[in-house]
Amino acid sequence: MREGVGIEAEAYFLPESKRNVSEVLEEEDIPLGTLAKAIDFRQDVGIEEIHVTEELSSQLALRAVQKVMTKAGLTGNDIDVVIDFTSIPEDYIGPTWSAAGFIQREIDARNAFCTAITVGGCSSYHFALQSACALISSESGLKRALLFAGDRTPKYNKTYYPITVSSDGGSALILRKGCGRAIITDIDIISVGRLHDVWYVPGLGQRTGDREDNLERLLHMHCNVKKFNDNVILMNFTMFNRLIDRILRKAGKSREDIDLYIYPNFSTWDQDYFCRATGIPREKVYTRRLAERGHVQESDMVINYRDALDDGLITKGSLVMTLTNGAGFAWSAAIVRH
Amino acid sequence: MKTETGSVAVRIVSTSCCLPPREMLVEDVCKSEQVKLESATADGLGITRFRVFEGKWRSQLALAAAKECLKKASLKGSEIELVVDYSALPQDYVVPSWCMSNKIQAELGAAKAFNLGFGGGGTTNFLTAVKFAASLIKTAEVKNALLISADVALPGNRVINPDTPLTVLGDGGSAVILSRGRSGCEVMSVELWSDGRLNDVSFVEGGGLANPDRLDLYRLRVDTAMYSQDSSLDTLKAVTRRAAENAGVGMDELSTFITPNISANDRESFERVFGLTLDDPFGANRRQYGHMHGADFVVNLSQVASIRSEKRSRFVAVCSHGWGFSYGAMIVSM
Repeated sequence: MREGVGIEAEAYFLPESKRNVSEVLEEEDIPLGTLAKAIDFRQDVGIEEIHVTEELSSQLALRAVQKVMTKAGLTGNDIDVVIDFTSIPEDYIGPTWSAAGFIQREIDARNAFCTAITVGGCSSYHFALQSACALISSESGLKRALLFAGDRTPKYNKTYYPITVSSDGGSALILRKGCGRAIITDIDIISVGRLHDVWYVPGLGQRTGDREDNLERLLHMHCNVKKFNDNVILMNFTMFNRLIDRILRKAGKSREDIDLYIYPNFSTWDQDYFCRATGIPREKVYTRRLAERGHVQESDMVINYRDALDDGLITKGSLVMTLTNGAGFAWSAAIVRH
Repeated sequence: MKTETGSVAVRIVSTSCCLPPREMLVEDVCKSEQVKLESATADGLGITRFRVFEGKWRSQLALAAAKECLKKASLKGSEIELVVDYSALPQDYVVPSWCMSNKIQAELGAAKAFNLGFGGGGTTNFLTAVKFAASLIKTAEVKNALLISADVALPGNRVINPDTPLTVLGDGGSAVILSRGRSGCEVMSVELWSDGRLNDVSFVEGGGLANPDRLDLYRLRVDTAMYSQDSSLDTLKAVTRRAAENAGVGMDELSTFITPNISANDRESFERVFGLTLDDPFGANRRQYGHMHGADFVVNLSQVASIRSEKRSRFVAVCSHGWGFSYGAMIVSM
């Protein structure tokens, strides 16, 4: 069985520079009108501004990592494992490269080994939690894991139509065996592999010829809208309900026992549907800064947890569930006793 | 003797590789990639031919290997609870936004599984995948894990590097099933260590955020100025010693050392630094398949399993230097 692992500290970084979302939607030629379930994306997304930068994603990750290390009062020597859980393309393409080695170098974590979780969409946060908790609790020589993500979307690819608009940013957390703070009591993940290509980035490998124009567009996130509408839209909240029931059953808890649900900042319409479908009261679902920040991929899980703490909504002993959909093919959750 | 698994034994239940049928000679690829191959360099490579994948989706290689692996283990897709991708080269779509393990889960009908992938460590991704999968098995979250890879060289990018050839890439897929409560070779320990200073010793410079439209940089390259063979092998020896200690096994009890099929020179240097007989036990695999990243370990491990001798020690080390960045060593009891 898994030994107790807690979150020793968490931090995030958002670049100062911001852009107005209505300008972004115009620039990216996002369609007008309704999509599935009579949703008007432009009207119902509920995001007004996003953070943007020209910096590479590894730099955003580094700033978040430096903040979390300072907050936890740690040096690189204290870290045994470094895991990159970024879910969108990084400085260089995976799985050949990840930012984990770069971060190890920058914080001088000379005892650590590095790797990257290469799956999950926004659920990569939970995939990383699951993997890291299993590893450090099963090996006596390992105590601390540093998990981080750095996300910068390419130019003209801020909008993940029909879901959300993305901010650039980074996040990091330290997991420690035997940590009494934010103890991760349960983690659950559902993977639906047949939806592996609802969201995808084609890459240079999918170019149609060496003379293809605008190769940069091949690094944009693509959505198979038909597959999305025919599958994800129809099953999303059924899957959330299944996931919530499953993890609560494992934990021996009920929906009412959870003090706060940390949910991703996808859109206003998504949140409304989530609350309606799950019966969880709106005030228990934390996405407070949706309008001013939008969605920061998998980092939403860390950012919203941290913000909820700072807002006084999570206090010692609070029972918190972090949960998300991951790129249409995964649904994941963790229960944390703060 | 002890095991990191405590009371839970994690075993390699079955292994399989899928090698595409088409063969190509190294001398021909050198011509097409305009590589001048001196005879001394050719001897140092020790690779004669390799396999070439001609389909559109490289994941087909992993799928075929996975199906064979399940068959060998007498398992159904529905009995797999974890699928882990340990590929090293660019995939069907850009990673980490896309991961092959999801596609394989769907194709195998592994409805109960959740899917993982590990990247950034080159060939050592294989040992990383084993370590994490074993942890999930030990903590009782998973009983049967399927590990998969599919590595296909980028077009015109088989000789790494063209100016100073270190290896020649062959195409191949592989699969391994790890389980508890079933018979097979026991994973005694896996030790990993990284040197972040060399994080960019081997990578594809084009196609990511830094150089999104640089087709000329869309190729794997190893930085030979950064990579020091001798110091890397010394470090690998230390990592292997730690893995052996964790398994409660002496270095002198290890009968076979499995390494990736990078080159004859790489293997010879490994044998020299580790104080082994210069017998190049996996030379035949290297000569006919080239370097297939994680699949090399599976090909070589299968060979050891098929010819194990009653007279020899049953402990085997699986070692990877990851070009000086990502080191790994696993001790297996055959």
